[in-house]
Amino acid sequence: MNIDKFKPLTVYTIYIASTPEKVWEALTSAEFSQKYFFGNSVEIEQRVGGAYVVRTPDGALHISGEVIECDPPKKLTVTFNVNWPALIEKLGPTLVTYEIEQAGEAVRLTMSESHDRPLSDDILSGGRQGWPAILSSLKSVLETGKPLVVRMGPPERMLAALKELGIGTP
Amino acid sequence: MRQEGATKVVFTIEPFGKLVKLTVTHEGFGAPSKLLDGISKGWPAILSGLKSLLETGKTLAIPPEALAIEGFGSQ
Repeated sequence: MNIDKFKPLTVYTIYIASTPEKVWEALTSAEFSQKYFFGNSVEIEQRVGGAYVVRTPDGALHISGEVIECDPPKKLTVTFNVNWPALIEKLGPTLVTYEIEQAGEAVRLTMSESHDRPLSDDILSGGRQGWPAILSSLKSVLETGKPLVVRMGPPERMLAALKELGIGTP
Repeated sequence: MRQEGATKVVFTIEPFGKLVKLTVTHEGFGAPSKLLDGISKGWPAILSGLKSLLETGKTLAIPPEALAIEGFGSQ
């Protein structure tokens, strides 16, 4: 897949008292991701072209994608497509890139959500609501052993925008 | 950077279940702005350090050079 035309529309950076290897593990292990990713499990084949899947706590397929770049423990790029009917057809694929760098004794984790077309702030608001909670909780798990209990309501603003575009949501 | 005009920072602190949601917005930059570039790299480090301090009692040891801000930490 050619990712040249994708542009980052949402970027978050967080610093974590950890090692690049542990941050990589947190991003790629099902057991680890369940703790900070709203109970969801990440399943990944760590090779270019491998499958990238996120399952909800009941095992249902939530996000499906493909590994585009895989350079442990520095860089991971995957397609990150939420399994809602008509989402990809109308909005195009979503690309997520994690970059992991040493910064002194801490680790800098940068998450970029990229798209191949301009999208409204309303559409992007869902990710912008979720990512800070996910990344904050990931940091807490790595630093304290305990995740954050984030009780987040549904992303109403994004759901309303999707509905307006005729995209069905659960 | 010091010649650039004053900018406005808003900190919003909201209870979020048993957590706290801190939102920082920073506006009023000129274009182009070296301050905006520097501050965009600075806030994630500051806020990450704040979170670590509150949750673990320890700050993060992030050397200024690691932020790659022009003119900051690179004497």
